[in-house]
Amino acid sequence: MTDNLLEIRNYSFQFPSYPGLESRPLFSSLDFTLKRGELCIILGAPESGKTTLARCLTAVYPGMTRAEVSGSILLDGQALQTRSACDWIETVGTVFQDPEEQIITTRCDDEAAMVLESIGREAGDIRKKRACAFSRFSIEGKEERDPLSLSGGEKKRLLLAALEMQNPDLWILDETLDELDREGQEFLLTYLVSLAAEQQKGVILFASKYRDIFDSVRVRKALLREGHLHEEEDAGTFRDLLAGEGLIHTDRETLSSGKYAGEHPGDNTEPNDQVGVYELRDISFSYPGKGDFSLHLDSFSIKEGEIVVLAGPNGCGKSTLARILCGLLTPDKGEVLLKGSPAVKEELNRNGAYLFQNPDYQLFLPTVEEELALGLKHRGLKKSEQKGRIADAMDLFNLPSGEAPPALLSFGARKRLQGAIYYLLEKNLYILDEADSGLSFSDYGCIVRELMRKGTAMIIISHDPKVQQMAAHRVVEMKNGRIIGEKRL
Amino acid sequence: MIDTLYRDAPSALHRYDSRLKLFLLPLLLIIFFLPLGTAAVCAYTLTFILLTMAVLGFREVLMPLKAIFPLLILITILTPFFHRAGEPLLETGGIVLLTDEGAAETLVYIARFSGISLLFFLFFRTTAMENILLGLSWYRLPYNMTLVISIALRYIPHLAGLYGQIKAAHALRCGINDELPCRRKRGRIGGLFPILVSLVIQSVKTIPTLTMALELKGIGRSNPRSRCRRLESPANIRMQLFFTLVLLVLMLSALVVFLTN
Repeated sequence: MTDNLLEIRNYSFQFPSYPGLESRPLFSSLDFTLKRGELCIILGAPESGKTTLARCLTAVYPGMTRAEVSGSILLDGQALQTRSACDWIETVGTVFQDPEEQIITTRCDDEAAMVLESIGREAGDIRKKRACAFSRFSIEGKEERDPLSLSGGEKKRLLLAALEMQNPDLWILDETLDELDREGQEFLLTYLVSLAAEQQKGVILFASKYRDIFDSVRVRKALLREGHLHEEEDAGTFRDLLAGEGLIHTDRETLSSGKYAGEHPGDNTEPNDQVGVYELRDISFSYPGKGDFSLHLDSFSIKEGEIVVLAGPNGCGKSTLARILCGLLTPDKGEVLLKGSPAVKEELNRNGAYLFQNPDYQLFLPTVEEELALGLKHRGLKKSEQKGRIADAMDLFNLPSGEAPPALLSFGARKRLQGAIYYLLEKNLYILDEADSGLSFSDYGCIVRELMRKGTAMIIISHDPKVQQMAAHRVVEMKNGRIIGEKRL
Repeated sequence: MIDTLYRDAPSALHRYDSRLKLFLLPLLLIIFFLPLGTAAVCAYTLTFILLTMAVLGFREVLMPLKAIFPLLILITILTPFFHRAGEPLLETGGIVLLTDEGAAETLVYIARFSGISLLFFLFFRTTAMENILLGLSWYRLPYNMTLVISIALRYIPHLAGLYGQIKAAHALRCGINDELPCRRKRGRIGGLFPILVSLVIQSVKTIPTLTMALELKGIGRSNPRSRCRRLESPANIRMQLFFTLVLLVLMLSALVVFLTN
C-alpha cells in the first residue's frame, strides 16, 4: 500500500474526430496526485472532460472509445491498464452522472448487492452492509422497489448506498450532488469528508458549479480547464478562476436584476395578475405499481410572465406536477385549465415546453441547424427568415457549428441546444426540471435568461438555492405529493 | 436503463412460485403447437383470456392483443389464400376468397398467436424479473446465461418505455400555432420517423453504457459469485405443488388421449 492512492502522470486523451465535429485533446500532459485520506472537488465547465476523466479513473475508458491515449494512471502504485475494470472494483468505485445508465436490476436491494455478489461476499455480510447503507442514505423501506420508479435524487442515494457497501479505496463521484435535495447535498459532503479522514479513503467529487456548501469544508479544490488541473492556494484567486469559467454564482447571474434587467421585452416583468395561464384543480395522481407515492393538489396556478420555483425534497412530486402541466401525464382526477378552459393532452403539449433531464429524447436530426430549423418550418417561415433566427439562437445559446451532429455534442451543449429549440417555438409555459444538472451557472443562466425573454410563464425545479434565487417570483414548497406552502420573493 | 413488464399485485398468480411457473410455462406452450381442432385451440386461448381478466383485469387483456393486432390482421388477410380446400364461403367473379377450412385455419392461427402472447404476458406481468432469474439459477442455469436472458428480456420493454418517453418529448416540439406533425400531410407514418431515429440513437448509446455498468458491477471476473437473495417458498407451496401436479396430469392425459385417437 502506497501513500499516494492515485497518480496521474503525463496523461493525454483525445477522442477521434467526426464530420462536423473536430476533436481536440481533452487532457494533455495531465498530472495529478491524490493521497489516502484526501477529498478533492474537481470543478469544470460542461465540455471540460470531467466525465471522461471519471471513466478513465475507473478503467472503463479508453475501452471501446478508439481514443488516442498516452501517459499513465497508477492506482495504489499499479498501472490501471494492467487489469480490466471489473477487476478493480475492490479498489475503485463510481456513481455515474446519469444514474439510469448505471442501474441494471429491477429491485433496489439486488442493485445494491450486485458488486458484492461479484466479489463473492457472504449473503449475511451483504445484508448487514445493505441495511446500514440504506439507512444512512435514507432509502430504507424501498428495498423491493424498482429502482427506475424512484425519483432522480433517490436513484443517486441508492447508488451511493451501493458504493458504500462496495467500500472501495477510491470513490469517483460524477456530479453526484446534482438532483440531491439541499439536505442530501449537505449530508453527502459531510459524509465524504469524514469518510476520507477517518477511513483513509480517496474521494474525487466532480462538479459543474461551485456550490456555497463547498465553502463549509476544507478540502482540495481543483479546476479542470483546457486539459489541465489548476489548483490555487489563494481562495480569492481560485474564485476568480471559477468566475471566469461561469462555475460560480455571482451577481451577474441574478437575472431579475442587474445586467440583464430591462434589456428585452419580457425581461424582469412582474407577472400579469389578470391572466392565469395554467390552473390545476382538485388533482390526484398516482403511478401504477408505485403505491407509496401519490400527488394531491387542491389548487395550483401560474400567471403569464410568472416564474415559479418548485422546491422540496427528493420524491415529493415536483416533476409529476410539472409533467401534468405539460400533458405528459394525465391526472387520475381533477382538471387542468389553460387560460380558463379545460385543456386536453394535445393542447397542453403544444402550449408547454419541458426541458427533459436527458436532452437526447428530443434530438433526432443530423445537424444542429436542422434541429433548430424544424420548429420554424412548422410555423411556415421563409428560409431567409429561418436562417436569421437560427443564427440568433446559436449565438444566444453559445452553440458550436450548425453542421455539428447533435448526438456527438457534449452534454452541456446538447442541453443548450434543447433550450434553443424551445426558444424558437412559441409556448405559454416553460418547465426547467433540474435542467441545471450537469451545467455551469453560466450555461444554465444562458438558458433561463433567453427563455425569460419570451415573457411567458416558467417553472423551475432545482435544489440549488442560488438557482432558485436567479429569477423566481414565487417559491412553492412541496412535500409528500402536497403543496405545503409558498412564499413570494 | 432497464424496465420490465412486471406489475406488483396481490393475486394468487403473483404469489405462485416462479420455479413452478418456469416448469409449467413450456408445457403450457407446447399444447398450442399440438394439431388440435379449432374448438379446442379456441377454448384453450379463452382459458388464458379469462385467467388474465380474473387476475389482471379486462384492460390488461387488451394490452398484448393491441401489440400483436397488426399481425392478426395480416393473418386474417393472408391465411385464407393458402388454405383453399373445403366449402367456399365467400367468392367473387368465380374466385374463391374464403372456404370453411380456410376460415377454421385462420381462427386457429389467431387463437394460437393470441394465446401464446397472453401466456407470456401473464408470466412476465405476474413474475418479478429477479424471481425469474433466481428460478433459472435454481434450475442450475449459469449466472452469465441468466444475465444475458434477463438483459434480452428487459431490453424489449425498456425500448417500449423509451419509445413512450421519446414520443412524449417529440409531442412538445410543436408550438402554439404549429400543426402537429401527426396531422401534417406526411401523416402518422411520417410522424413516426423522428421518434424512431431518436429511439435508435438512444438504443445505440445504451450499448457502451450498459457494458460499462456491467463491468463496474464486476461482471467478467473469474472468481465465483455469491447470491444474496434466495427464492423464498410461499406459505402455500404444498398447495401450489399439488395444483401444478394436477395440471401436469391433466395435460398428460389430454396428450395421451390425443395420441391414442
